Amino acid sequence: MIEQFLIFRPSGVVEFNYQPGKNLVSVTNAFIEDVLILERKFVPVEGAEDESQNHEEDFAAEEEKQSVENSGIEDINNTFGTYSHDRYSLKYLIWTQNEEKLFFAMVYPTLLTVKKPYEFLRNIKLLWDNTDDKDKFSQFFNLKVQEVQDVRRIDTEHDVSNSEERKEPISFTSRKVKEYRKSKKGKRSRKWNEDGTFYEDQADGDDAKALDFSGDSGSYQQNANLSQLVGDKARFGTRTKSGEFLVSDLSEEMDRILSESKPKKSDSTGDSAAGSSSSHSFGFLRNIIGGKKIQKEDVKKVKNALSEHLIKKNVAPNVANSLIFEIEKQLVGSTTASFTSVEETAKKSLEKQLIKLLTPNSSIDLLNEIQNKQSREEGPYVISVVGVNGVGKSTNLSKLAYWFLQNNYRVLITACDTFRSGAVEQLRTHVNNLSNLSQEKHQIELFEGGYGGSDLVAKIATGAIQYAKDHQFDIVLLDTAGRRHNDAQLMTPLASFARAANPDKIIMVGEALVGTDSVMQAKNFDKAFGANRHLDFFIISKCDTVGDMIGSMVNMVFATGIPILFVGTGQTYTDLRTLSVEWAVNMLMS
Amino acid sequence: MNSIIELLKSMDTTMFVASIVLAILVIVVTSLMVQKTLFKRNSRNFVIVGPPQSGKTNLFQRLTTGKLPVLTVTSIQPNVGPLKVDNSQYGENFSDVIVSDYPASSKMKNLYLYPFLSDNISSCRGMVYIIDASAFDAEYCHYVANDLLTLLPITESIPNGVDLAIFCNKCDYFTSRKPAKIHLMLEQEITKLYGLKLRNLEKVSESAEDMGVELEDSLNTAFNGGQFKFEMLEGNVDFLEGNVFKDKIDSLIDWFCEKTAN
Repeated sequence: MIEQFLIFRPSGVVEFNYQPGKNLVSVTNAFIEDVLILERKFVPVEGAEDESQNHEEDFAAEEEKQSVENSGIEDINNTFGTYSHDRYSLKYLIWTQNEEKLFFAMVYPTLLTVKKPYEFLRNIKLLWDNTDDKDKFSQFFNLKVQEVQDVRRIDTEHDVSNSEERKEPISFTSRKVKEYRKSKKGKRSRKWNEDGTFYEDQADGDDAKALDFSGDSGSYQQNANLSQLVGDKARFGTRTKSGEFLVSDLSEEMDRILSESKPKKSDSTGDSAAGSSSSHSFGFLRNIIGGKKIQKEDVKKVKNALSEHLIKKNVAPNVANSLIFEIEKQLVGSTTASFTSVEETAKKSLEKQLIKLLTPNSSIDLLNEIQNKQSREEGPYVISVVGVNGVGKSTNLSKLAYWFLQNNYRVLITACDTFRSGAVEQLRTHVNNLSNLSQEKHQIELFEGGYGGSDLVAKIATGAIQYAKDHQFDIVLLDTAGRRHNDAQLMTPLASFARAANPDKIIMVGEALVGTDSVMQAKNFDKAFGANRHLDFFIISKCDTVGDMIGSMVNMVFATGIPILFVGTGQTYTDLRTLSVEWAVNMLMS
Repeated sequence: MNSIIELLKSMDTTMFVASIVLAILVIVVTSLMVQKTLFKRNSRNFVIVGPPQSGKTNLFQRLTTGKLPVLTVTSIQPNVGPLKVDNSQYGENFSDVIVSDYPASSKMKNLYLYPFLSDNISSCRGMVYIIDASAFDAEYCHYVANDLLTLLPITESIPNGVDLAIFCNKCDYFTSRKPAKIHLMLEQEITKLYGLKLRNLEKVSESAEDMGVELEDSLNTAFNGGQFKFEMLEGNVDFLEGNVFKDKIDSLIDWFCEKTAN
């Protein structure tokens, strides 16, 4: 049931691998990718409304996690968590010690439940910590796994017998009928032994009594059926018996380690705390020279300054808090480099955090994708633009159109804003300008369907794509109506629109001017297209109006994990740029 | 009078002691700093890069410890260590050769690889680009070409460039592509992508100086009649084959010896 257990370092080297079946390292890799690299943990500001995200979390496991986390002082260095991917669940424990991280990951099928997974992880960690000999550790590990497996066996037995009792009448009659039918065909009836094996009965099966499983023979039958489910228990027993001597010896040692390690651990943490505190006579020098071990108090001072700095840059308090929480976690217990103060170290750390956040996870190469689709002859490349009112959807759409025209593509601009008066006229002005700027007159056209209700939008979109197919357009740009992100009535048509038009890329335009609200804007628009469709990237407009206060970029990426591809930097058609992470981070840190 | 002389004397001794202490301190501090910079300048760096799951960490472990790890998972931190291979038959001195392996996730590359390269490119003696030849299809080729297009402008930015070894891992598999074919595919893909890159929008920057020019300048020479050729690069590019997982990396060790000998 535990399909794989890995102990690995951040460098990617696996220290210990328990793998009874096939290699499920892809699950662990997905976990690393999704949790360790991409993770953006929302830490709400105190007093702000708490967004609890893990509704589906198994409550029992969660409770146990809490209890394990709360027990013992040494657990500040441990982070527990859970992750699931492709029918497998992964419970992990991240252990930080002296700036070194060690990951313990346990992979098992999601359908099964493991009792007290976190306690198991912690015990394994303690064993690993206290066992120098790797061979011995693997023996310990096997023993521990067996222990857990044993508990589970008994558990299933219990569970199944319970459920069997409840379902008894139905299951019995159905089985009876089955057996009866079998016997009618003259087949041998199956008889069950106590240990779960069965033999084929020679008797013809006309004997109604043989088939009468009700009454006292019922319990016998039930047991037999159960043991079939549970597996060969007798053999399991002998197997453990054969290794009895070794096992009991080892388990004693293991239990000793587990029971002893606790007080020992707390002692050592106490010692280190006393040693590293500034009671050292030259402790103050370390502030200047570096090499100082960072304590919680040191970070506290820096924390406020940093979060204020971020908020000044228009980063939402929630997001700033979450970023700084991560930094705090990294810094506490680490030592400063030579000739750097705590402040500088924290700043460096924040810079790294921002680089990591803003760098897109996968590169989006629009021109390449358009070319690929063209070569496959699958019709036009469809790009749709969404966003709140007045953020510059139409303007950025025409900037994109200008760029495509420069690359000699034929562009069809579609007016899907059937709501706001003048929306179509605005686009027509853009199209007239652009067609005057392009070499050929018919390189760009406007597709319009007038004004009307929201049902008209999907019709116009599909019509435009068909028109583009018939008239050999390379790219279709769909301009949608601006909508308030917190109005469900306005947001719901987006899902049907996305289904009808099925754009290759859905772009959200967000403005740099907006502050804290950008978090919710990005979140709501990302959710609006249904479960299987997400935004592809952001265009952040009006970057020229905010100076270096480009915090809303951080907000939007943090809220959704969707990258920023373009930034709008002015009023003209050429004022569209790709995002440079270096530039953004420099702006934010200045 | 005497007392004044006494005072002067005592002051002299204290001054003397203080100055000696100061001198020692200065020597210690400067030696520490000098040692650090010397160490930095002296070491020869080799960098292992490549797409995810291509065997970078395995190769690193093999080169630095001589053993293959049980298993590897996605790295989230760079590995740095001295090269340690059996060099009895070559007689090369590997003592100052530092090998580092960088995680392939684009976030991690932006965090570790690019800053490292921009700081230490002059001490970089070579780069191993490891690819999984058994998974080398059009999509993989696109990824590798894109990656090389970001790396090559950096490696070509110094005189004579940085030598590159494209190590085709798992080359002994039946389904793997041969290095010659990979070579050809990569050249074609880079030609295509470079064309697209020139047509792409500029990166946003504070000053008028743009990033596109840099890319153009250092790579322009490698385009012979519009076609990208690895031979035209300043640094030498070698296509090597082997299999890290089966410990077949002789070609790469030979390459290391060759590059460290120069």
